[in-house]
Amino acid sequence: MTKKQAFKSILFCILFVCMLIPLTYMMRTGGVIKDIFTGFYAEPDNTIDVVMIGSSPVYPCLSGPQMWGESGFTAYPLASNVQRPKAAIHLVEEALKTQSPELFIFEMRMFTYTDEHMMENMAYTRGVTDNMKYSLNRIRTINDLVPDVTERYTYYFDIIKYHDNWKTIVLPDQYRSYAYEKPNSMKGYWVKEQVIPGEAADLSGITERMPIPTEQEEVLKELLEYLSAHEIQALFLVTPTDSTYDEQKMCNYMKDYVESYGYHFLDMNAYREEIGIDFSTDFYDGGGHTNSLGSGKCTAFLAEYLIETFDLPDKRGQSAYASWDKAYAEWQEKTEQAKKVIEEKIETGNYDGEAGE
Amino acid sequence: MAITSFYFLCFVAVLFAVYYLLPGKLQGPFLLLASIGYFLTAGSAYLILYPAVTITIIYGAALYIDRVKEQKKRKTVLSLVVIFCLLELTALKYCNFGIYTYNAIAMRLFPGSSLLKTVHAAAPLGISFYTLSLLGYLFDVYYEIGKPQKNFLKFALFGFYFPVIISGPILRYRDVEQELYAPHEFDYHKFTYGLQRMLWGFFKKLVIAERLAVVVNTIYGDTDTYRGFYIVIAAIGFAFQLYADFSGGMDIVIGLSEALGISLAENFDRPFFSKSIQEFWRRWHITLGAWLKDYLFYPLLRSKAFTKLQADCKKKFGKKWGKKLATFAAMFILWFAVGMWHGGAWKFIMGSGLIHWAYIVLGEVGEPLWKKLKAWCRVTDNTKWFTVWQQIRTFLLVSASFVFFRASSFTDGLHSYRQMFADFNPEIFWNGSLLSLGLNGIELVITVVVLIVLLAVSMLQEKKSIRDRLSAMPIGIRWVLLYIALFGVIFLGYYGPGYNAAEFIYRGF
Repeated sequence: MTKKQAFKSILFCILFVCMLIPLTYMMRTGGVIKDIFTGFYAEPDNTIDVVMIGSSPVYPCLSGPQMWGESGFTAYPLASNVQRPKAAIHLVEEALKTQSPELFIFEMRMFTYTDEHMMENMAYTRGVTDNMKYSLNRIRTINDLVPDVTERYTYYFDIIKYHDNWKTIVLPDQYRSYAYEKPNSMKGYWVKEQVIPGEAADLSGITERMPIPTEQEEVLKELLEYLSAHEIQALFLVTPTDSTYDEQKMCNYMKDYVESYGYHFLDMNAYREEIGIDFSTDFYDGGGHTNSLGSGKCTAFLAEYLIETFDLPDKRGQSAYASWDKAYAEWQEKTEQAKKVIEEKIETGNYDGEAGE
Repeated sequence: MAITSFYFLCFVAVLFAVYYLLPGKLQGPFLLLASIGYFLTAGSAYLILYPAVTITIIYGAALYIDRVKEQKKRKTVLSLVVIFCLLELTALKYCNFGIYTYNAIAMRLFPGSSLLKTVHAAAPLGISFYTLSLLGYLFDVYYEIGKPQKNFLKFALFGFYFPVIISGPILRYRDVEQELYAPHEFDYHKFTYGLQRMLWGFFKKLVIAERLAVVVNTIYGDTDTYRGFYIVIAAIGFAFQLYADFSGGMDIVIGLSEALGISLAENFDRPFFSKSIQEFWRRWHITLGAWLKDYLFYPLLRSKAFTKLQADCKKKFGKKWGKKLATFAAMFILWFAVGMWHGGAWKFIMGSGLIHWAYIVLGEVGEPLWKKLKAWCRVTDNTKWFTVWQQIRTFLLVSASFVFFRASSFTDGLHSYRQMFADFNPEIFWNGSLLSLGLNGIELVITVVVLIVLLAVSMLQEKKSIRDRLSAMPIGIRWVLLYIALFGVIFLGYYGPGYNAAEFIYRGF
C-alpha cells in the first residue's frame, strides 16, 4: 500500500466516524431524558452549582429554574428513569468534565431496589449510557452497567439500537442534537400538571434499620469513598414519597451509612409538614412523583436547606446567567398555568387516574 | 457467529490485520486456524469431527488413487469414499426424508400400521457444500484432471476454508489451488474491491432480503387469510428475497475472500435476466449446477446403462425422440439431485428440482407448438420486447416453483397454490390492504426503491463491473456513493436489538 492509499483510507475512515457520531446523536430516541442530557451538555462550562443525580423523582420534583429565581444558584438534573445507582460515579465524572459544581445531590430511592430488578428492562441502563456523549467515561459506564459482555457492543455503538429512528431525523428536536448539545429552556425540569391523589402512611415512628440490597450497599460505599477521596461536596436525599415501612427502614439505614462518612442525608419524608406536601393533590401518580404543585413546595424547602447547609453563591444579576433568568420566567408562567389546571382537577375531582393504576 | 453479526465483522477485521502482518508462509496455516476457530464457534464443537474425518479420508483416498495404477482398485476406493460421503449426508440430512416418505406411504396404503420415529441428528455447518467440494476434488484426481495435494494441512485448508463453508460457493480445487496456498501481499485494489463487494452483500441481505421477509412471512404465515393476489405478491417477493439473501451472502464471502487475495467462483450472474429456465440455472447457484453436470449428469450420460437406454429409445421412438427421451431421464435424476441437495424434503425436490425439470421438458416437447404460436402472433426472436417477455416469463415460472421452496412442506405448498386461486382480489393493490403485511407506508416505498436499486445495479453490471465504474469516478463522487451505501446499510438494515435478522436461507444446506 502506498502512502497515498494509506492516507486516503485513513481519511475515509475518519470522515465516516465524523458523520456517524452526529448521526447517531440525532437518531437517539427523543424525549425528556434526551432533552435533559443534551441540555446539560449545552450549558456553558463552569456555570452549574448543583448537579442532581437520580431517577425519575428528580426532574419533575426539584426545579432548577425555581432554585435560581428564588435562591440564586444554578441546579441541573442528570437524571433518568429508574437510574441504576452504579451510574452515579460515572455521571459525577461526566459532569466534572465541563462543570465544577459546589454540590452533588443524589436521590437515593433506587438504592433500595436490587440491581437485578432494575436490569429487567435494559431501557433503564440505556437511559444513562445512550444519553452520554462518546467518551472513555461512557465506555467505562457501559462496562460497569452491562454485565453481559456479548451485549456491550450494542451500547458502545448505539446506532445499532437506534438506526431505525432515521425517520425522525427531520424533526427539529432531533437534528438539532447533532452535537448532543441542545439548550434546555427549563434547565432539565419537567412541569407535570396531572393529578392522581394518594395516601401515605405516617412513617415518623419508624426508627428501625433494614440493610439495603448488598450490591447497592457496595455501590454506596464506593460512591462515598470516591466523593471523599476527591473532596466532593454532596447531599444524599429522598424526595417525598409514599414509602412502605421497609423502604423507610432502608432509608434510615442509608442515613446512618451516609452520615458515617460525614455526608448529609436529607429524608424529606421526615419533613412532610414543614414542606407542606399533600398526597391528595401534589403527586401525578398517587405518591411516587410530584406534580408541579408538589414540586414547588419540595424545591422551596430544599433550596432553603441548601442555603443553610452549604455555601452556595447567589449569582442572580450576572449577565452570563441570562438563560437562567429566562428559564425562571418560563417556569413561573408554566407553573402558574399548571397550578390552574391542577386546581381545576382537584375542584372537579376530574383526576388523571387512580393511585396504583 | 452469523456473517452479518458484529462479532463476525470484528473477527474479519482481526483476521485481515494478522493475515497481512504475517509472512507469506504462515498465512495459510493462519487461515486454517481461523477457519477451524470459526467452525468451532458456529455450533457444537464436536461437529467438527465430521468434516475432519471426511477431509482425512478424501486426502488419503486421493493420494492412493493417484499412486495406484490399477483401475479396479482406483474405482473401488473412489466408490467406497463416495458411498461413505453419501451415507454421512444421508444419515445427517436425509434420514428423516426417508422416514417421512415411508410414513406418508404407510398411512395411505396401510392405515393403522406402525410409523417410524424421526431421528434428530445435528449436521455440521456447510456439510452439503464441503462434501461436494471435497468429492469434486477426488473425482478430478480419479479422472486425472488434477493432481492430489500431498500436504495434509494445505488440503485441510481447502476443506475448512471458512468463507465458503457458510453457504458456498462449491469450490473446485484446481480453480483455487494456486491462490489458496500462495503468499499474499496486501493489494490495495483487491482489498478495497473485496470490501465494496462485502458492503453490497450486506445491503442485499440486511436491507432487501430482511425487509421482503417481513411481507413474505406475514403472507405465508397465514395463507387462509391472505389469499389470491397476496400469495402472488409473496411468491414474487420470495423470489427476490431468496436472490438477495443467497447472492448477498455470496457477495460477502466472495468479497471477504477477495480481500484476502483469494478469488472464488461466482455463484450468480444476474439470474432474473435469464430468457429460459436452462439459462436461469446457468446463472443461479452456478457452482452447484456445474458440479452436478460435471460429476453426475455427464458421467450418467456416458454410463453403460444410459447408452443402452438411449439405444433402446432410438429403436422405439426414432433417432430424435429416442435421444431426447434418454436425456430427459438423465435430467430427471439431475434435477432430483438438485432438489435433494437443498434438503431432504419433497418441497425442495419439487421447488428447486422437478418443477424445473418439467419446465424444461415441456419447453422441449412443446417446441413445435411454441414456434407455431410465435409465427401466428408474428413474433420474431431477438427483438427487444420478445426478450423482455422471455425474461418475465422465466422469472414468473421460477417464482411459481419457489412457492414450494418457501412452504413449510409439500402439502403446504399445494395449499398455497389452492389459496392463490381461491380469491380474485386485485383491490388489495389500491385499498390499503398492503399496509397490513408488516411494513408501513414508508417501509413499502423503501422496499420498492431498494428493489429498483437492485435492478438498476444488475442492469449496469450486465455491461461493465460496477466496481470498475466506481474506481474510474473522481474520488469525491466515489466516496459520496460509498458513504450512501454504507449509511444505507446502517440506517435501513434489519439488525440489532428489536430485529431478528434471520440466518441466511442457504446456511441450512
